[in-house]
Amino acid sequence: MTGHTSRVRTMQALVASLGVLASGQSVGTVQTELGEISRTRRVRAGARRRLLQVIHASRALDTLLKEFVRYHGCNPRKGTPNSLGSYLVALEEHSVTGLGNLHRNQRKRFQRVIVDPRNKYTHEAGATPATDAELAMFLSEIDACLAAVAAL
Amino acid sequence: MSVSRIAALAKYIDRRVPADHLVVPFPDPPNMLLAPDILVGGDGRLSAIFVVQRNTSMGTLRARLISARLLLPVHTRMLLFLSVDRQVPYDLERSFDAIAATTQQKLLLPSPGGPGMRASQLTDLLAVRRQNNTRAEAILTVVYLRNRHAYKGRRTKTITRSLSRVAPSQRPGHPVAAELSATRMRPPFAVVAGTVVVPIGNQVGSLRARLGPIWKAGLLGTFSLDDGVPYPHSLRPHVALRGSPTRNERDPHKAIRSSAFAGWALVSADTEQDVTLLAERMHRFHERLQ
Repeated sequence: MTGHTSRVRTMQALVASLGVLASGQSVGTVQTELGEISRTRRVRAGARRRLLQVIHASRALDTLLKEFVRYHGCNPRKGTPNSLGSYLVALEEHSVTGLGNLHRNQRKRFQRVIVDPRNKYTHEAGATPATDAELAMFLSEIDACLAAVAAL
Repeated sequence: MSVSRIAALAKYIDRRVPADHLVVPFPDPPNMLLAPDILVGGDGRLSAIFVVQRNTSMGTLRARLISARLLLPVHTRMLLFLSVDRQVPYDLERSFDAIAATTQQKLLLPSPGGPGMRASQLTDLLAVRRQNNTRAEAILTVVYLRNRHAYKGRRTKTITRSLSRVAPSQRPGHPVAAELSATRMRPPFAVVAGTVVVPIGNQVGSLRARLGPIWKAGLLGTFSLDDGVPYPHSLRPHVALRGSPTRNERDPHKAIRSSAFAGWALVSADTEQDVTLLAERMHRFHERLQ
């Protein structure tokens, strides 16, 4: 198993272990999105490949957090969570017994290194990770966020 | 049992679990330097399998289990597979949820129900995980801020030796320092106001080879396993001085994150004063975050 495949499979195993998804249909779609990160590596055009990987990774995380927050009834102090950034706030501020909270610094960092670039790549024409190194950094933080949520 | 035998064990399990389960030999969790040998995830459950082989270091096994208890989902079943007839220290055996010998591979298959941690153990484990996360966040905040500046990161060993001459009396008795002294590398290190400072060499090698000894020393010197729960003696952050970047290109921040969760701030520095100030500020910042 290559290193990249090992990482994707590890993340898929963590997702499969989350009860929140086990009972719904979302588990298949999240797993498929994680698998697409690997499959789109074969796309030759660099900018297109990087953008596709950003989209698949973002959608996997977005869906996972949405289902996780909904399942556990996590609510922030104000408002209703309905976006990636607000799901992270809900995971920091909730008061669900027996469930851990994201640390404030952790949530702020994920906002800065995942949500803000994701919004730029998906909403701004022409914006993509400029290099494979920039993409690797983004995917690395998505993995870290996913692992942090799975461990709550 | 070699690498191929771990793969064979993974195949054995894969053939016997439901189709929606994932069996991952040699997993790569993003925050762990040394992971379990096999992860099995599915149906809302996760099992982590550790395989004891002829050359398995009990110290490394202990560090890997501590790391898994701190970072994998809290209800993960930790399973020990004895592929050879080896003695495992009793306290380490007790910290696993189940142990299987070569003729008992079926015990490694996921099973619904089964004994889990007692409520009091779970409460303690959640508290320890929260505390370690806070320490890791303090470290990561400092490290990422410092990374915006261009420290040259030279003379890591010289800086460390110089610091060790300033405060030699703090070295004996420091648990993390004691673990470092017990490693094969026996790196030079200093203890500055309770913070251990150690240089990371510039030798070519994998992330595991370069960081493994300090990662292990950080975990074994901080935590004691008691019935599956890693209880900390002190959660003070420590400093690992690097010269050249320690990167895993696939995951550029894995070195920084896995070090942070083992208690190490992986940074560059140019002078002894810089390191001393860093140690003091990081300690104060960590105390403020708690």
